[in-house]
Amino acid sequence: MAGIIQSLYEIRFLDELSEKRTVIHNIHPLAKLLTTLIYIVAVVSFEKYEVSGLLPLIFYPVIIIGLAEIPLLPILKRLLLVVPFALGIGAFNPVFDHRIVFTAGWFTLTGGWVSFFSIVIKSILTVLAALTVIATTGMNRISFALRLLFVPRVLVLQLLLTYRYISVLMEEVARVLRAYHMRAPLHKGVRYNAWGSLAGNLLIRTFERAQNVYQAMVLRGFTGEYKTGGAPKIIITDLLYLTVWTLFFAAARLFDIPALIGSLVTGVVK
Amino acid sequence: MSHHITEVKELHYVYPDGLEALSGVSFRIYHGESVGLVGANGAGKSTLLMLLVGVLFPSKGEVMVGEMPVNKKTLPLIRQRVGMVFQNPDDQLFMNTVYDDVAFGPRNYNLGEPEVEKRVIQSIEKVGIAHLKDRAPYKLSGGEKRSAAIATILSMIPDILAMDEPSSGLDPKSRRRLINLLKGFSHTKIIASHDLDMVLELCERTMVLKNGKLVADGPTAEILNDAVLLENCGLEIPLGLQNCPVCGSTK
Repeated sequence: MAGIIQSLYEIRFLDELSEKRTVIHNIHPLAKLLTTLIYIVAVVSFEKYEVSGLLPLIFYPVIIIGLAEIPLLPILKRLLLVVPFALGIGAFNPVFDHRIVFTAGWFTLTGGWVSFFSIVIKSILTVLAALTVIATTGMNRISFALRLLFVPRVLVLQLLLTYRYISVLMEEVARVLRAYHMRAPLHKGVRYNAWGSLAGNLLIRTFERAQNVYQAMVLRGFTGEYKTGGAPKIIITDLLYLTVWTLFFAAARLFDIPALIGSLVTGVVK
Repeated sequence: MSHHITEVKELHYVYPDGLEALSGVSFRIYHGESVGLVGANGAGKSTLLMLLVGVLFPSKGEVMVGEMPVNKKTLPLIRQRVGMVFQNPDDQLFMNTVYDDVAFGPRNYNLGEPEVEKRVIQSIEKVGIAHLKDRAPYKLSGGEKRSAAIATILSMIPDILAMDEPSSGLDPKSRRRLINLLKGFSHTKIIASHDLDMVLELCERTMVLKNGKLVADGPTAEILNDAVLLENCGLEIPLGLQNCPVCGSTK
């Protein structure tokens, strides 16, 4: 149960990070959002057996995390949450795909393993990119950028309110579970015969709280548009940020940079 | 100054489940008045406040704020004039920083950012939490949260403050600070509370609700001294007006 309360604070952790003021935080949200989207498309567009070509792309999240002063450990912890899914998706590749792509003495590497690693690397890179954009921009400003991209207001609002209400739901869960465990100290989890009423209660309580929060918003003039204060103007730095990264992603996508460097080095050696 | 009058005429409200929360309540509140709204649990206090700000609409009767009837068309104006402080400040604070929360209202009324900033700073200074400006609201203490919730309303520069149990959950010192703060406000105040001692200090007029009906409306000193009336309405004489519990000496 302490775990739930702890994770409640952790949910808000990314929001708190987004309030910092660093070079990266100051970039226009639209530039950051577009860069992230292009990055994700670039990563995903690599073919199934590509591993080495993906490696230069790790620079993007690493540089952002460094410049934005994001603590590494909490981000890696969140990343770990996603890794099992990637492992699950790629798990059967080595079993079914026995095509040999590389042999060195006793060591043989099958296509299955290569595509497995490719999937894991791709998922790590895309999730890292998503986490860093939230940690440096914040959900409110991301929504602002989405509106600039003409994403319908209703969808953006759904996203924002869902994000906002996760913590409301978690607070209620924490309270209900605390009350349960106070009266059932010997139970390890929640007994199945209490599941129904517990979940039902939780749903109603969450509705009620969400409604209160909504009323508080409406009473202060909320009409469906989340205003986060002063629309920042896009300046030359933002354009540069977007352009430089896009060029880098394009270069990484079109050329196998590690192989190029390798051939350059071996060429020099020759 | 008729435009500062808040008037309620023959107000009825029935909840969707058939519960009649208010039946035939009428009163007038004048500019600058401080009115205590007291009554047992379920007497209809919160419902009445919700009707004043147009979160609920009456089943019958009318609510007038200034010269405007509260209806869907006038809501934006009404809500700018009547600031509502919720019982649970957690419901009212939902942004990432105190600053953003206090700025939420003014920004929704499309004020320029310099004006928003001016209002935010004025409001948080008034409630004494200027140093908490960049803190996350959910990390504040109960008293600080209450002050922040009040600041979110003040930044909209309302004429009328409607408060639901403002002193609930506060330690004695925070409660005292809140009372002193509210004493300094020149707004019209409507305070629903079980804290009768606070009502005694802050409000010159008190209205008593019982089962959705207004059973008494008059000077606070008279009403809160009327033991029979209070007993009938699930209340009791506030401690400040009772005899000394230790030596028994009269008040």
